Amino acid sequence: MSVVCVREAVTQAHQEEWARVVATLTRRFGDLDIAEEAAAEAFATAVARWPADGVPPNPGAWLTTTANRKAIDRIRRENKREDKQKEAQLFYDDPREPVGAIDEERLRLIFTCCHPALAMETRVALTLRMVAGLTVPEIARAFLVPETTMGQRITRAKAKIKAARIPYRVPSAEDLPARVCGVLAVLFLLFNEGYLATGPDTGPVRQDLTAEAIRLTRLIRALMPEDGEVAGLLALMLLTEARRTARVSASGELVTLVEQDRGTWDAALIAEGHRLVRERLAARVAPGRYQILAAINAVHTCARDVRDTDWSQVLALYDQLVRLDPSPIIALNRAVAVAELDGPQVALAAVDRLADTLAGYHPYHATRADLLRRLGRGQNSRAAYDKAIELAGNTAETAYLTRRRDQLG
Amino acid sequence: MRYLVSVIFDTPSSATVIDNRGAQALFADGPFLESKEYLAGFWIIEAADLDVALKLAAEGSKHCNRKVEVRPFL
Repeated sequence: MSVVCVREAVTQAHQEEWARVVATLTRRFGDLDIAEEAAAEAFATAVARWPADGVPPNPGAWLTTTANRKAIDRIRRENKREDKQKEAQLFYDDPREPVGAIDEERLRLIFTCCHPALAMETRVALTLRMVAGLTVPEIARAFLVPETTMGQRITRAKAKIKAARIPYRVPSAEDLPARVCGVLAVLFLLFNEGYLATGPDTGPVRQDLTAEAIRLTRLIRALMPEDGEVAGLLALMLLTEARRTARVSASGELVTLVEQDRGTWDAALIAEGHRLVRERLAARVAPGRYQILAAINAVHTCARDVRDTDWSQVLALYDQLVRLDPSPIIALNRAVAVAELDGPQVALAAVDRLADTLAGYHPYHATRADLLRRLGRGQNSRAAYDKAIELAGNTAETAYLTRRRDQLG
Repeated sequence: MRYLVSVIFDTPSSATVIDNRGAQALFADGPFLESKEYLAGFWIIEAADLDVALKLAAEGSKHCNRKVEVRPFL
């Protein structure tokens, strides 16, 4: 068997099986640390042995069995008294548990990694390590921190889960909605970091992160197919990702929705996103924030040309969103739609009302700058662009804002 | 899950701090830490896991109108 074929098989197995192996082992041995280490060793063994022995017919079972043995070896080496009961799992070495049970295992793992008792950045790091299977160096690179820092963050997270007695289970029915929100928040954060990466040293759009966020959200959707907000988040991510190549110009500058070449949008992702949005509409259940945001994106991506955008639909959806979440950021985004329907003067009045809360938020100043420009108030517009550039953290955005400011003349 | 003990403290102004780590025991007018927020008391509860403890603590926080910290025994 060729080396390339085996490498591909291992990569595929990693994508498909990592979370399952970690989840199964965590269940058996009640310890995230043992599970993670054993899983990593099992995959390393696969890399070493499969080229010579061939790819096993059931890679998942092979990996789980191998990881199981590694875990037992470690427990024996450590030889702690309380782990004797974990050793008893020795005799419980079934090849493959029924699919439903494994889905349950992965849900347990995800909900535990996203437990509200953990800090947000900790949840993201832990989810990426334990569920997505990214290595510590990969996660460190993603968040622009040193490897040792990220390693410690993950180690402390596992220690806290143990010490604080965070239970390893799917939340009860009454807790589930809030806890699902927590998981989706982690995934949304991850997607946003890829979509509009912060920091001057990174590329402005990081496809590896958006792809990972989408993959994890697809996993949650497969495990919880009835949940509307999960579907909404997936739709939102797909419709946003569809526009990725159009978002940054060859010279590394942000290209706004108005200016994007819609021919380069990914039609397949858009079609899937629209399907999900229609599915949620047909469900006739009051939509949550992700479903509404997805619907707004769907309206935008329906239009072949920016001039065909149904702005009154967009505004109606923002009105719904504002009722759910009266945050000033949503009010700001709503004002952009207002500008298209009622003109920049009305919109500017609405935006200025947000001055106190959004003074440190660069899109606030960017929006003001654009409205002032449309009203012919060049000097005020320039000042607003300056403020936005000062606050913006993304290279593509900074380049775009600088260009717009310099075009004022 | 059960409540085992409930303790309410007097105000920090009634506290005394003892430091006997050195050669001689030092006594000082309290509290240990000058702060706007201070410990008002504690509960000892028995709970199967953190989620159970958090539920109990959430109820306590609401009824007593205070922030509550949950920490396990070693």
